[in-house]
Amino acid sequence: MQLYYPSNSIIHYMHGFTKIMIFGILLTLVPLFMEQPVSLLVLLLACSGLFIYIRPPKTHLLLLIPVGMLAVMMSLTYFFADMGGQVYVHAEWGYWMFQISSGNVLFAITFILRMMIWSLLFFILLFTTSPEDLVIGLKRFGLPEFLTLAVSLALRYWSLMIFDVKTVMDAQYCRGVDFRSGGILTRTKRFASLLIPVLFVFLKRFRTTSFALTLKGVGRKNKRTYYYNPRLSAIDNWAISSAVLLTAVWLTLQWFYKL
Amino acid sequence: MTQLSNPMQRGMAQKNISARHIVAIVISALIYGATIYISRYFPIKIGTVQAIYPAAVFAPLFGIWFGLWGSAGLVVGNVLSMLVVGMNPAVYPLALLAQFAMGFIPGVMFRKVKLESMKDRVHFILVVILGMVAGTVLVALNLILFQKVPANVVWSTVWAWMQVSNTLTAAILSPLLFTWMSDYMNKSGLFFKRFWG
Repeated sequence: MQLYYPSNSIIHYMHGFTKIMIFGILLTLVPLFMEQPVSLLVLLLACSGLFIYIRPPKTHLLLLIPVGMLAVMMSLTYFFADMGGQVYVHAEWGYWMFQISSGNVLFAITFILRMMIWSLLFFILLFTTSPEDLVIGLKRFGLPEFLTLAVSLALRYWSLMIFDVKTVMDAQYCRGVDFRSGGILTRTKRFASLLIPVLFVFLKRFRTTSFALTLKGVGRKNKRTYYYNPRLSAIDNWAISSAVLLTAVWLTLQWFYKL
Repeated sequence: MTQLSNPMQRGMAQKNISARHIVAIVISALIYGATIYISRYFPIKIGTVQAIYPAAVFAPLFGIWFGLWGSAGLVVGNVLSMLVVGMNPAVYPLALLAQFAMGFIPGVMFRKVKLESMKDRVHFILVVILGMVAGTVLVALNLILFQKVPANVVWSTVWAWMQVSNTLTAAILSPLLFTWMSDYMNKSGLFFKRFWG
């Protein structure tokens, strides 16, 4: 799960805490209170500008495709209710109904815009923050030591898990299992043959991890020390203040003008 | 040897959070997160809800095997799977709480490592159903409050479907997986006898 890539944008130099605060929390709140598609579109364009500014690699841009598909699929929910407006198509199956109207389309578009804004903001956070900085950022929020350690281990093991699955797949190849031919059912059955060995490989690995952590003294009363522990800089203070101000101004405007 | 065993025994007797608690969170998070991650590639959706949700099968098991720590792992696992597809966990607070409930409720109500009798099986299935129903209610509330999906659609279509994708799937498959895996969990010492660890 290597979403982070090093670059020289200002966002890359910010502390993990700052980025979680700005892109994960503050700016995430704004679209939640927006109702007008035009306002959401303006915000989406602003987020796209920031996204382009961090210059993600082409491979990372591809991640927007499944998110976009997900947003469109989710927005279909709105076609199962009467959201008002001019009705174009209406069908009923007993208790359930399906309707395409101007109201339904408007709500669906609003939903897609909101989802895309959230995803862009979150990708900005993930693309510019290394897993270590992410964990240090979470720690600064006051999360307990055991939880940050668990998150950092989970992030580390995620890529190891993919490696384990590939190893088991290679072993199954050697035994003659073909994952590339056959119908969906046949392939599903063949992939299911990975489940048991993969699960046991994971559990064996975790048992070793448990021993290693115990030997390193995890859970003892002594406080854990860090070699890498960056502090908040002037850029961070400036960025957090600006984001807080921006969110407050936006929420005030929203309160009065229903943007 | 005597000198070594004393600090070791003191360490084992500690009631603090230890390595095994952290490993329990990580195991649950990774296996649960990976299962959700895989299911996200089959985007058969009803609203924001996955029509096929194999992760629901694992949720009660981690709650029973690792107690509170397994339930916490389910939340971490869901967050992990969200990270990869660019979904912001901050917008799904009740859905995350739902993952916790799916493990917590069966975990707190069923503390056995084996299904020894028919009574155990019935008890197991009931607590799994209870956890799933509570979890799906929380997911539905998240849809209404945060995703602003109309309540009548959520309760009549999405929540109703979740009873098939989550509750029914878990009620059928979880007991089978539990029977098959529990012996190993017990023998390897990974099983938590007490809910709080």
